[in-house]
Amino acid sequence: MKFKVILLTCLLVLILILSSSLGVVGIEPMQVVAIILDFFKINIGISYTDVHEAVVMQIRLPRVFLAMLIGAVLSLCGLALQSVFRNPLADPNLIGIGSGASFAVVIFIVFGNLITPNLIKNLGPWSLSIAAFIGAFAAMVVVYKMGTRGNKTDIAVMLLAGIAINALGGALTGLVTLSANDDQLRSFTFWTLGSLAAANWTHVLTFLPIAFLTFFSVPRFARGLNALALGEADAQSMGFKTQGLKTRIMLISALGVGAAVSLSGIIGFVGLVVPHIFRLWQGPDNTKLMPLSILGGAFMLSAADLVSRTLAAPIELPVSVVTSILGAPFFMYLILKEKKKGNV
Amino acid sequence: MFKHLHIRKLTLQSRDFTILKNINLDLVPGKFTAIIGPNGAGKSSLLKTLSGEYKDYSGDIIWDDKSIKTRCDKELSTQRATLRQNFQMTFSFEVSEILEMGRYPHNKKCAENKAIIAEVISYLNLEKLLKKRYHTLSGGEQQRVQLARVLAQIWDAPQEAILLLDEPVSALDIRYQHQLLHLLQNLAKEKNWIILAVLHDLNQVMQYADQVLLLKKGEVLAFGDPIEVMTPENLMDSYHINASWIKHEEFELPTIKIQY
Repeated sequence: MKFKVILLTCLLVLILILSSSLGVVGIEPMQVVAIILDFFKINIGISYTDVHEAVVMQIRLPRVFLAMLIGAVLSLCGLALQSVFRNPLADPNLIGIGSGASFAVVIFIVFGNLITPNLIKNLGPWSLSIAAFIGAFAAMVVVYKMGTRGNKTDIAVMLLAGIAINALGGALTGLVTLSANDDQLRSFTFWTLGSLAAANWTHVLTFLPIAFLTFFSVPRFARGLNALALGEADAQSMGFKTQGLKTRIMLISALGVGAAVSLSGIIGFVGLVVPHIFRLWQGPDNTKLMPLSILGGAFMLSAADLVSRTLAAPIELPVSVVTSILGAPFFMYLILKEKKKGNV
Repeated sequence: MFKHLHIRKLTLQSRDFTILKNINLDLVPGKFTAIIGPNGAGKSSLLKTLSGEYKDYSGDIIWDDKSIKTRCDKELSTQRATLRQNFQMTFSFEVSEILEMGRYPHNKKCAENKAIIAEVISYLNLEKLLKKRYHTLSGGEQQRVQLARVLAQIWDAPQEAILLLDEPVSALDIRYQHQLLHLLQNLAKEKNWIILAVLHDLNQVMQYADQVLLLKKGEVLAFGDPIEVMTPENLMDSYHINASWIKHEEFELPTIKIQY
């Protein structure tokens, strides 16, 4: 476990430096280190130009940080939701959170601008996150309520409800797009495909408190979520307040995933696959799995983003495409391996 | 002072019919009580009501002179544990992790919890399973692991505890069935627990239970010594079966023979 945490942390530092150095403007890794250290007033005597510094500090670093934070939040929330719904298929997007959030954002952009042209600029970037949160939470509540009878959650019904919400959200978003202008259209495409290209420090700072809220609150429920794997009645007889636990996890996930969607659009696969990969590697105990999922999610999305913008440069591939291409084969390999051992 | 469990006029309704009807029962610590009765008699429902899963009942359940309605689940969780009929798990935890879950209700030091888990492991001979993943275990092994978790939960209960078991031997082979029932019989005495278990095999009940509760359509048909409760008349009345007792000079208790 300790080894895994150290390994992942090293990988994150590596990605941080690589992402800052690779791109259209080539910068030596050591120059990147010098630029970052210079920010902390440490001079290590390696020269670089102002352009290098601007590229690293204003474009690449915020993008890497945002990718890491969003990846970590998506994977941690995915993990928590899988435990709450007691189903390994409960990806945040599969149960409608993503489409709920993006629908709310689209509505907010189109109809918000009808009220005053610069509504979003005036309210600040937070307003989009709040809209996304409301959309995400509403979608999740509908899905959850539809799938719950008494105090039992019927997973099959719930997943079907998620599919319905996704279809409805997608269709309504499409409908609203018809009344959008060119600029708005471009940003919708961005939301539905998912991209980190627009990342800047304001985004990072907007998302940072939400990310830290999830990092510090969700792991506090790790034991309760473990107990929930035994069954709701068992968790209750062990003294856990299961209803409160579920509501809290859903609220936090809606906030985390909603905010992520409002900044980067819908990025698939991270919330589903990263927890799985680490569950197969470490086992399902949430007290250990949660820290690994945070680090692993951060690594997966920042690595995917690096690939997406360098593989076919100067064209950027949608980051979702890369997460799926990277994640799916690895996931399949793990499933086959575990199937042989009989663990799946 | 012993903690008695009194059930007073317990009635449980579902939407259109009565599951449990006016149940009155007094249980003293140190006894292993079997709950028997035909399917749908309300055995599991009674257990679920006692375990706190069903809360919408009328009447009262009084333990240690206090209504359990007035006590919180968190507090009760260190003194009352339930082994449910369904022991499926969503994710394939390691056996040792599942046993640790049994200690979640306790705010004790890690070493103390580990010592208790170790005691339970040796009590149930689970050493070989510890590092295995749950989904690789057989049904019987899974059931024994869950039993160990439940025992760990109340192992150090300050005074008496309540242990509720819904068909605890359903997945076990015949040897483990007898081992477990023997163990429950002893545990009740050693630990002074109230143990209630839903069982199906009448001869096992005869052999191991200190007392028997026979339910019929949500009501108590008989309660007391196995030999007094499981008479051919009572068995006919509840199960509609032709049962007769066979006595053997070597054994004190009769064998119940059923002709269909």
